[in-house]
Amino acid sequence: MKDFIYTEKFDNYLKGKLEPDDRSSVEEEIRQDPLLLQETSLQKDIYQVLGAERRLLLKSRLDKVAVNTGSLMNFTGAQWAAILGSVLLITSAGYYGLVNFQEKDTEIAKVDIVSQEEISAKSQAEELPHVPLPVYNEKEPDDAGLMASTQDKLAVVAMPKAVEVEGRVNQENKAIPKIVLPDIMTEFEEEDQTIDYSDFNAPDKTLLEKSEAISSGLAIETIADQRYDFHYQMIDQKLYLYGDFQGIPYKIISLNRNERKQLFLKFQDDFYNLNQEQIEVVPLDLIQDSTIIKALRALSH
Amino acid sequence: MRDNVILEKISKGDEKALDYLYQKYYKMMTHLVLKNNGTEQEAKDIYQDALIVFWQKVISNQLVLTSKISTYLYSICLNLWRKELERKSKLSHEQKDEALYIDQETDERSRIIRECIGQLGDTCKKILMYYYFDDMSMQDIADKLGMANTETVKTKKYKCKKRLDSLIKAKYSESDFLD
Repeated sequence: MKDFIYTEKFDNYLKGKLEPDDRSSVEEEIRQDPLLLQETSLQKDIYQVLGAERRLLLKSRLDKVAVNTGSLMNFTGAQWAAILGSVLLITSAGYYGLVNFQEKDTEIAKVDIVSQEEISAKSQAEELPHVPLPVYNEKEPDDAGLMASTQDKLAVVAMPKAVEVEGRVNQENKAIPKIVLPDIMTEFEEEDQTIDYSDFNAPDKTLLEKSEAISSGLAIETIADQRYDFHYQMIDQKLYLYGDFQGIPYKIISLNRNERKQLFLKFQDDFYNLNQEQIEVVPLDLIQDSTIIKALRALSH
Repeated sequence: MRDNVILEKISKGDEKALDYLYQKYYKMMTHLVLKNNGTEQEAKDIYQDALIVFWQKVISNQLVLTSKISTYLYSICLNLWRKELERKSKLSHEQKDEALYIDQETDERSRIIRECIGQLGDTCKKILMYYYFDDMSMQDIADKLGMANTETVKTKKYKCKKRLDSLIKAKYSESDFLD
């Protein structure tokens, strides 16, 4: 009995690797020997505990592996260092940028004071220095030029303050900066107006940032399986469509939504959602959201 | 790393390949449990268990893979999580009490065996675990532990097993322990 438990045959019995005939003969031997029966019970426990210990070792090893769970707590030291470095870099850049901006502003302010003194010395009657007014086209705008004229004014008002101050400093010696604005088209050709957009609804910006109607290189296989009518599954980037599609063409549409690519099936004017992680066979999920349907219609035409 | 390279490394007992797989598919596999009412801890446990099942099958040459590793792992996770959910739902109060009684007895026996395994040397522990749990061949164990040949491993394994048995039996008289 004692030697038997150290044989390869007994080890294979514990591991469940014996052929049915051999297994039966070992079990018969065990049944007939009460001591061997007790020993086998102990050996089975030892085998179980050795397995459990090994599992624990492997699990504790895996626990030490850094994984991406999408949580901030899972960043490694190097990742934290990189983040900290970036923050410092941005902060420093922001700080120096601000300091430079303030220095420039101070310089301009100083020059401004000097120029005011000069101005007051030259002209006692003036209490405040002249602020150069933007030069507008004195010509009265006609109806067609109204838009352009308004935009000229807006462009001048929106000029940076520094330019305005600089203009004030240099008003006596330098020419006022000339603003060149693009010509604004106020009339349209007849042809341009003939396009009919009445049937087109622009999709929501958050819904459709960048879209494309594609076949996306996705491998597709249709399976006429009576158990599944109009079902699907995705395995290894391959789409399996179950059901009788009667030879009617269908279309796969890819929609980039919220920075994530989503796939849809268009079949007979209906749209169905395709989950790319759907390994199990499930019924096709009909899209009922009118916003998505509009976007998908726009893409599919 | 390609699937066939991973399989080859695992079949030789390279645990770094296991780390790689764990990291690579962590999000995908745990998502399966998380979206089916599981907690983060349960998701992690299920994925680790699935990986260990995979490891054991590959290393003992019991697996002929016809799909991608990720697909296979996903299906193990799915099965393990289904079993776990079934176990949870079936566990009534009466069953809990019964399980507690049996567990106490089994736990004591397991505790002693664990303690004795802890008293073995590092090489002994590894040889026994690689042989009984990983079901590695003598040649693979020899390669992994840098031993001269399979005969050395066989002798060492025999001695380690005898030592473990005697340690366990020394804790209890046979009648106390085995009755």
